[in-house]
Amino acid sequence: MASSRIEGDDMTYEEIVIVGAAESELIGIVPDVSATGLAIGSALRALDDAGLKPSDVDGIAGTLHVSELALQLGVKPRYADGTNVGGCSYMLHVRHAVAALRSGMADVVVIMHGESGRSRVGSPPMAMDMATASGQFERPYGIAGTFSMFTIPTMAYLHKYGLDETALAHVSVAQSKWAAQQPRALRQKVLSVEDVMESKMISWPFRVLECCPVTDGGGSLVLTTAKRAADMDLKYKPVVVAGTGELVEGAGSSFMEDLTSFRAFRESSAEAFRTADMTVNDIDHLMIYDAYAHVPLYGLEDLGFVGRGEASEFIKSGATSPGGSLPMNTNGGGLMYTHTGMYGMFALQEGVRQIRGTSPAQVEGVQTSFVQGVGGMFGAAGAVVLRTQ
Amino acid sequence: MSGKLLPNPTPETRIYWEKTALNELWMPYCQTDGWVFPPRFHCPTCASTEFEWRQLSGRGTIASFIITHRGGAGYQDEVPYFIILVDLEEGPRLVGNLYGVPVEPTAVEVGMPVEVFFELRDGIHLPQWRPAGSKVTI
Repeated sequence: MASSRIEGDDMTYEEIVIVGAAESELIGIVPDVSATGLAIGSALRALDDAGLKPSDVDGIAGTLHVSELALQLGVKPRYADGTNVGGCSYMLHVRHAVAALRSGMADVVVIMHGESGRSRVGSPPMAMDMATASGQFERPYGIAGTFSMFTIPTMAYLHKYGLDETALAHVSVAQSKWAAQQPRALRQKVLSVEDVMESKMISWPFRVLECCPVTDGGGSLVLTTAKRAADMDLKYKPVVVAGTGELVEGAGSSFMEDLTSFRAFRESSAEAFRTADMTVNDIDHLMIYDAYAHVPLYGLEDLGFVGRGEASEFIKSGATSPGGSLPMNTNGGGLMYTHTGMYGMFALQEGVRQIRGTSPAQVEGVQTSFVQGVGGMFGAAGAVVLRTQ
Repeated sequence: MSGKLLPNPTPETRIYWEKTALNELWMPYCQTDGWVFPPRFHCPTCASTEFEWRQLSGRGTIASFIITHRGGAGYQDEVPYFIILVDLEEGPRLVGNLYGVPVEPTAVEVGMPVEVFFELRDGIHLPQWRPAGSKVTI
């Protein structure tokens, strides 16, 4: 096995690896499992990847109540992380777990996601706090859902670069080609631009096929040190967490500094590249959290894979589609695969599958995967770089 | 009651909502760093608490927009309708609805000048928007 320590700026760090990764048995429409049940079910499956039991776990993270997760899973963790900045929280959990494992605060950390976004089984009612900045200055204006708030900056972007509505449609078209290879994807049909443009208008310029579906599902990751992993009976080779980054920018889309570029994407990705000692040229596979079709456009540019205003043309060229130079959102993305509400865990799961070589839409020879998350409607971002050991 | 959502003013934003009740738009202003929005008790750049409230012109341009076909609370009978971002002449950005134009994408564009008016909703006056020079109210 490779050295269990890696070089840092002025010291060496323990190498941290993912030894378990699994989604809940069922995703999509799951009316008979609670949100917590989806999380726990996936955690047990992920632990099984590493031959571990709940009694081996001493650290947990999640966006559900962590004390409830601890009770239900059956652990008394000495490390607990309940960070919740929206759908990218799991990328932040990975980053925090790396620090915890390196500092000896925990030996085995399980990061759990479970959300009954569609069926609302065992889920708290969605309440809005009208005293927050968003509650006072955004929400009163007929914001029915994320589709009429997360999407608002898009026209500023399209206008700046002289693009029309089809710039968004091409994102869905490209990702539908991956989803067609994913048996668990909710939307599996290969789409044309016309299919997308003729689908139901939700929030102009967004059609329904440019908006994520709302689903039920769970997913979990098990992290430990490379040293500890070497003694485990693993089903798959460990996946190395090569680098991470996070940035919390603020309240949401109307408060962005620049409506055409997301600072938290720029800074969290730069930190992830820096800590991984990689550049865009080192990345074989990319996941960009896509609750709506504009997000990958911002992401490709803010992460530095393409120049300003070039993302749509890049996607249209086939570069991110099967056979392209930069396979992106190979599970079909949140748009096609599944979107429970806080999708980040599913982007991480596909990144791990591609490194393991187990994705139904497997790309040949993937050694590095960059997974970029967004949270809270352009409020926060987290990035994780994965690589083979 | 309109059934539409109402902001829940806090001590930090009390003056903002007291001024909208007079059909005026005011925000805190730091002598060093300029406008502070959303309102709070300190400047997020220099931490000064010694700033004053100033009135804004109520003029701005559309920075971005959508036309939602699914109505939020109390808005269900009004679909489709505009939700817009307005870059105020002085710099800060506000969210609002746009009135006084046909509800279609070709009726507006990024950069279009708009001006504020105030909607009285269940006791609170909310900034809303219409094309510059329009007399539309709701």
